[in-house]
Amino acid sequence: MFLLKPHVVGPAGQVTSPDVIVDRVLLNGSAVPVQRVTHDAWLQHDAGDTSTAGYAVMALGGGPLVLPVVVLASGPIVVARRAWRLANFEAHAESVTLNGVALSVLGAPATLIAAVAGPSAMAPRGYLFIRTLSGQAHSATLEDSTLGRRLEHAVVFEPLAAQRWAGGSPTPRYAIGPTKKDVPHFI
Amino acid sequence: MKYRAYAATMQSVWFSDDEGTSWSRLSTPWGGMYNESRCWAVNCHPDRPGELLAGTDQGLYRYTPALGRFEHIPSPMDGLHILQIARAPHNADVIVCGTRPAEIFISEDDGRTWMRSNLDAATECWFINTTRVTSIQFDPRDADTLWITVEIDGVFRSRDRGRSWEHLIEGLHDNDTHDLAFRDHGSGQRTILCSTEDGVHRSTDEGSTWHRLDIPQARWAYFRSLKQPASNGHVVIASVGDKPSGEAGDLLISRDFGQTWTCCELSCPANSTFWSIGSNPADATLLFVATIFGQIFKSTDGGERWIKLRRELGEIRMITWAPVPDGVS
Repeated sequence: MFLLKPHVVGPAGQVTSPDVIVDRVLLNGSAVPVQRVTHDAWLQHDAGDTSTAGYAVMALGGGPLVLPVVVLASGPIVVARRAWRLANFEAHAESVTLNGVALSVLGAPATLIAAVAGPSAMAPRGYLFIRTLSGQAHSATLEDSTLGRRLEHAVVFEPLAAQRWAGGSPTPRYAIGPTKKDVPHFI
Repeated sequence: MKYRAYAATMQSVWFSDDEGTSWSRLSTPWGGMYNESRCWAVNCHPDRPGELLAGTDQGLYRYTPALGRFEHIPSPMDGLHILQIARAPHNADVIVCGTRPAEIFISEDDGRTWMRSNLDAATECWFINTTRVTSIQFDPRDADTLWITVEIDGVFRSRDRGRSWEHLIEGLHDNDTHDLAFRDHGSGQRTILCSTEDGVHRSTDEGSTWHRLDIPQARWAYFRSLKQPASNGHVVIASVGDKPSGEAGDLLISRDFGQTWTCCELSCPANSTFWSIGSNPADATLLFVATIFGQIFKSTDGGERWIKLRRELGEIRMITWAPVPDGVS
């Protein structure tokens, strides 16, 4: 399972911070292992790896959440720590975009849920639905022009070839402390 | 002067707008931070009244009066414990954070991007398992120089804004280091004090060597926080306790930067080690101090006498205050 920790921003600026267990992930309609999901937006990156922007819908008691995501072809699905509540923009979903593309073109949140739960059903507990755009992107931005708000989410890539330490990584050190006296070492 | 006091606790951040008489947290539905999140560090913005950074086990957060809530700042520290936060005196956009395990992360654009510093601190310690950063200081004279203390691994200095570090432990009786204080003399000479688990140490050669001070007034050797009420002042206050958490604590004050010490006057005994002393350059006479187990004392005479406040807050890791103009929420 994965522990989703979103800050859910309401239309009036209020924020709730539920921790949510995710145990089922559907990426563009196909089940993928939940361990691909992460909040870690600082990732090592192979030069040949590609990534795409998307959005996720998370089932929740007060109504589904919508979050920006970045999906790496090598595996990680990086979910933002900020979210909106679907109920707050569903009535004007046609004016909500992901990286400039209308969600209705990509597949509206309700259709992601309906594909699994049926047209009138609630999103199932523990499900995270993800729909991605085509094309390379390191960031995903949801924009709601009706309410005049944005959710930005970016992934920072460190090249695999990057060397943190000039001249090679040092040997890890062990601290005996305190008092530098001879002590029993419980290792 | 109107001011706000802040306490970083194991139940989020507490605010006081009435000189410490009452304390409250932001409301869970709109506060932006899980109210039981463990918070170790708070840091007030020097130029934007009411703005605060908080280091937690959920990541780094920023409180802004305009929003009236905390907002999560994405950073590579989300999975770590953020124990210390410092802002550069010469440029408040430069933020340095210290974590457990002991690592340093630096932002030079007010938290938008981050660099993981090349701190080669010990990666394991038999006594506490995992090392951690206990203080971060910008050098008072050189904007490119940073100093940190690591528990348990001594003192580190970087002369290139955190790109590389020197390990300065020669003469320390104990590498369980907690805090530093600097006094630059008119002659160009400098004295540095370092609090440790085994007393206070002094260096007069930029940290190359340390000498343990004899402080007979201290009932215990466990020194935690060092605070100069006035920047580069000769007065320094030290917090002490019987052990890391402990059951008793004292405050000592030196008016000659560590040569002689006297015990501060407390309105009642402390229930545990004094952990954090909060000051602000806006008023060198106003200070707060917190014990690790929740007591708060206040001084309005520069640290000579301390009055315990009625309210207690559970486990407190840091306390501070900052002026806030009328109208700041």
